[in-house]
Amino acid sequence: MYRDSNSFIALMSGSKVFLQQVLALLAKDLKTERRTREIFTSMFVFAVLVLVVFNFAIGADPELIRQVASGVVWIALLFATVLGLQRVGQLESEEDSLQGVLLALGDRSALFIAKMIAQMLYLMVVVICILPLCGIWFRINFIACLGELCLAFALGILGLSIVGTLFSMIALHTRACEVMLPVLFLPVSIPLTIAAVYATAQLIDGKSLSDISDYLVFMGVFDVVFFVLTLIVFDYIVED
Amino acid sequence: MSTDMMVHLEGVIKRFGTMTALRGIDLKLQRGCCLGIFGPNGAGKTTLLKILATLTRPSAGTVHIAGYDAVKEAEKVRPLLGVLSHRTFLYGRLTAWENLQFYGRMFGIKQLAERITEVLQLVDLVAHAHQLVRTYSRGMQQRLAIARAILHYPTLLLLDEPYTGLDKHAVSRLQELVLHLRSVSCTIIVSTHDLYRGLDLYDEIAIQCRGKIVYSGPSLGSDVQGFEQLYSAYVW
Repeated sequence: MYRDSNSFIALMSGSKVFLQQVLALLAKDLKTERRTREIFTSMFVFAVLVLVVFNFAIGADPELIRQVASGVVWIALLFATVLGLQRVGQLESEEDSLQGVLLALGDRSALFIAKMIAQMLYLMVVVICILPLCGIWFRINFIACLGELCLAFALGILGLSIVGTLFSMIALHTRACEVMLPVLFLPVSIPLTIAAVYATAQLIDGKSLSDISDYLVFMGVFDVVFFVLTLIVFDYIVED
Repeated sequence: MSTDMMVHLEGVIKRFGTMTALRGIDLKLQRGCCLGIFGPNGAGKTTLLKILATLTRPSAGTVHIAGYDAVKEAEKVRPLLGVLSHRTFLYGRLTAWENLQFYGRMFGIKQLAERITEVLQLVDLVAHAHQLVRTYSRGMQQRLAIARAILHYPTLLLLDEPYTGLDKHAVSRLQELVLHLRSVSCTIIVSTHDLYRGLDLYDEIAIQCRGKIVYSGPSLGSDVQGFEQLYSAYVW
């Protein structure tokens, strides 16, 4: 309980400002994307290309396809994330707009939250678009385990968005931004991706949520740890 | 610290690795004053303005703005600042109106539509309000950047090389705006290497060279020749 009503009011008004800033940042990003479709198009085309290449590489063995399908989907998402984040970085650094945003923010973690949510939305749309294609090409019935898959994909996408946003902001302050982002992001996201691949593969194989609970717990812990860590260090990251 | 003191820097040092950009800057500026900081390229003017704008932290020394510690209480300082840099901080894929609407929402400005119209009128861009910013000329973008910088009624305006990319008409508009802001007690700091423009706007001038303020004093008014001599004596 807040003993001092003034500090409670200050906290609540601070939260309101924080929320307003997150919404303003998110609305700006989504408006720009709706107008240009640059980020989604690059992510989607890349993900589809990965599926096509693997479709030809794997051949027609249905057992092999079943084994590698989840890995292919997550590889496509992982690299599509890098591509999307690189484009976001380019847009923010074109006229040093990021500096303008930082000047307007009281709590800079609003920027992290907004960018993370935007990245999650882009990835979700990519997943919604590529899963049916993947189902057709790899002859896998995703609908049978759709609810469980949603949970696994939500945790995986959340983790990729958190880590991706963190490292894209770090990379923005380096000279070789395009090179630094994958170098930093890919190694850290590998444990999450492995867990997501195994969880998805077992769901496709008809296992239940309780069978993959270890993977889900791992992904949840990964998301929480990196989310808290990013909130702590974000103010220092975005400084020159 | 006096409540009339808007900016107070003491022993500010900034290092980037082994390179020292600022070597002990001391600066005091009263509320409502207009200070011109002159210096050659690489003098550390932009770094100084970035520290004042809370975009970077000093390696040593203290920075106070309107009585707040600009490092520890940066979130209280930022709403007081308007910053105009040689980069516009604008989004090319949004219209002028959308850019200002975005920044207005970030600062939580009340009656935003009226305020946007007001600042667009000040920079003569009302007719182009719904045009994408990437279709603007450089001068128009810089004028819109001025509108962005003053949108939230800042009490300290930081102008870093403000004349870059502006045509003669836009320069006089900017100078009119500076005069107007001075009249409403806005404190203004202009950093420039241009010795010939807007000298009479400043109440005080400072010359920065190799990371140090080597001269500070009252303005010489519009005496360009006198200022040139003074500048040459300190910058080598």
